[in-house]
Amino acid sequence: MKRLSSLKIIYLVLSFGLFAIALLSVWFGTAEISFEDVFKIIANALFRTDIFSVNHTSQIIVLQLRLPRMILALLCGASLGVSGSVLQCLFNNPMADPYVMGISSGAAFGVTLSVISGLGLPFLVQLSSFGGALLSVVLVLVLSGITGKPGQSLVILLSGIAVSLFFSALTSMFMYLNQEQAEKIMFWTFGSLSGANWTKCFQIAVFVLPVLGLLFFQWKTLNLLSQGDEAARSLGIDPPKARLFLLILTSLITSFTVSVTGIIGFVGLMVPHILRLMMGPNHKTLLPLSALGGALVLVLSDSISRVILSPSEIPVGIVTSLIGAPYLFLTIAMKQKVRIP
Amino acid sequence: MRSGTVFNSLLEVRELSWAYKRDFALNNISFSLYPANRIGIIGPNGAGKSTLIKVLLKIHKPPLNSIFIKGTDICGLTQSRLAGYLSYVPQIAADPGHFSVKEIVQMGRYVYGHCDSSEDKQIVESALGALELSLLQNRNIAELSGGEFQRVLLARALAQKTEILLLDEPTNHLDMVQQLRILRTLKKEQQKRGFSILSVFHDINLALDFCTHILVMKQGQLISFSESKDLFESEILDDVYQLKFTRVKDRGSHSQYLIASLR
Repeated sequence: MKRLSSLKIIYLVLSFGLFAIALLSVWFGTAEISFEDVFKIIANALFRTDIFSVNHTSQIIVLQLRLPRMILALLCGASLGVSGSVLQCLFNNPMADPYVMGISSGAAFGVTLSVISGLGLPFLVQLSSFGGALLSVVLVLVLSGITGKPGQSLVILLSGIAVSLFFSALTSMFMYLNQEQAEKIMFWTFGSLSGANWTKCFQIAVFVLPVLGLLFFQWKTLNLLSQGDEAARSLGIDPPKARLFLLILTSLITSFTVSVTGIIGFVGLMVPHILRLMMGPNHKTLLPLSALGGALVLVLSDSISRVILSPSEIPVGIVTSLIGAPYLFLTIAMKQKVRIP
Repeated sequence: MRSGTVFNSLLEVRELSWAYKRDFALNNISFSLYPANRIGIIGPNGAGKSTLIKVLLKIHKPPLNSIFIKGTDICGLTQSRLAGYLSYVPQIAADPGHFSVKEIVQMGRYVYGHCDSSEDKQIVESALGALELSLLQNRNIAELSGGEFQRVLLARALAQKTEILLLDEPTNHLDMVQQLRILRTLKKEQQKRGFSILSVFHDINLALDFCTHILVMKQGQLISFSESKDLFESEILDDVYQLKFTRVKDRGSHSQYLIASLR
C-alpha cells in the first residue's frame, strides 16, 4: 500500500510540475508579456473569440512561437524519457539512453546526409534519420556481440559510446566538407527547439504519439526481459524477437525527435534513472512516469536555455548536457563507491 | 494417427538428440510424462540434465518431431503458447531488479495477457499464500534471502497455472530445513492442483523421496527410467556414478537412504 500512495503522489507532483513549468515557459521570454495577457491570449485561442483585447504582437509571440515551442519540448521530452527507459531495460544498463547508445548520433548523421544531398523529397529527413538510427543500433549490437558476451553492460555502453563518436566524427567531416551547409547541420548536432512551429508539433505528434502508446502497452514484455532470457522465455516471450521489435520502435521515435530537434542528450538517461530509483523498475508505471518526467525536464531546460543569456538564447542540447554530464559522472562515481571530495 | 497413449501423455519426448557444437549433449532420449507424475532427473555433472530442460523450454532450439505436448510438436508452438503449458523455476536467476515480491509473482500471469483481473488477483494471492509469502508481498526482492527468493520464483511458476512445472535443482543453495520445506510445499501443491513435475535434482536421496519416477542420465544418454522405489533397489546408480551405494532403511519412519562411498 505504501508504494501505491507514493505512486499517486509522484503522478500528481509530476503533472502539476509539468503544468506549472509549461505555463512559465510560455510566460518567460525576451519579449515581456504579462502573465495576465498570456492567459487572455490562450483563452481567446481556446474559445476562438476576441473577448479579451490584447496586443497583436504579443498574441503572435505566444501563439506562434512560445506555445508551439513548449508543446514541441513536451512531446520530444516525453519521447526521450520513454526511449531512455526502454533502452535501459533492453541493454540491462541504467546508463543507456538514445544519446549514450549512439542512436541520436546515428540519426543526426542520417539527417546530415539528407541535408547535403540537397534533395527536397518529403519525409527524406525523417527516413534517413531513421536509417541512421537503425544503422547505429546494428553497429552497437554487432560490436558488443563481438567484443564480449552480449548483455555485459559495460561492453554495450562502450560500444554505444564508440558508435556515437564515430557518427559524430562523420557528421563533422561532412560539415567541414560542405561549409555552406555547415550552419544548417550544426543545428542538429547541438539540439535546439528554436525552429519550433505548429507544423513540427503536428509531425511529431502524428508519428511519435502512436509509437509511445504502443510502447506503453509493452510494459509486460519489458518487465519479463528484465528477468533474464531464460525466465522471459518460460513466461511466454521470445526475447530476441521482443528486443528487435522494441529497438525498432525506440529508434523510430528517437530518429523522429532528432530529425526535428537535433541531438538532445541525457534527458533519456537521467529521467528514467531517477524514477527507477524512486519508484521501482515496474514498466507499467515507469514508462508513463518517464514520459511525464522527460517532458518536464525538457520544457524546463528549454526555458533555462532561453532566459539564461537573455536576450540571446543557447541551444537546449547544451543545457541538458551541462546538467546531464555531471549527473552521469556522479552515478558512475557512486556505483564505483568513489569518495567524492 | 498416433497411438492412444500419446494423447494421454502430457509430454512425450521421442528420440530426442541435441548437439552443442557437434558434441551430443542429448542422445536419443525418449520418455513420457503423465498427469500427476513427479519425474526427477538425476545423473553426474555433464549428463545433460539442464540441457534437457532448456530444450523443452525452447531456450535451446529443439529438433522437429521429438517433443510433443498433448500430441502437438512444440516446434509448432509459439513461446507464449508453450508458456501456457510449461512453467519453469530457473536454477540461477539473473539480477531481477528491484521489483516487489508481488510484482514478480504477477509475471506468472502475463502470458494470459492480463494480470489485474479478479481471477488473476486471486491466483496470485493463492500462490503467495501457498509459499508463505503473503507477509512479504510488498518487500523488494533484492532484500530477500536465497530461500525466500527461491520461494518467490516457485510462486511465480504456480501463478502461471500450467499443467507441467519444470524445475532446475529447486533446492540448490538452500540449507537442509529450507530444502525439505520447499519440497513439502511443492508436493502439497502438486497433489492439490494436480499438475505434473519434471525436475533436475543434484541430491539423489531428495529425488528418490520426492519423485514418483526417476530419469537417470549420463553423458547425454538416458540410462534408465523407472519408478523411484525400483531404482532404490537396483544397481544402476552404482554404475552411473561410479560409486558404492549402501542402502539404509529405517523401519520406524519407512525412510530409505543411499549412502555413497568411493569405490
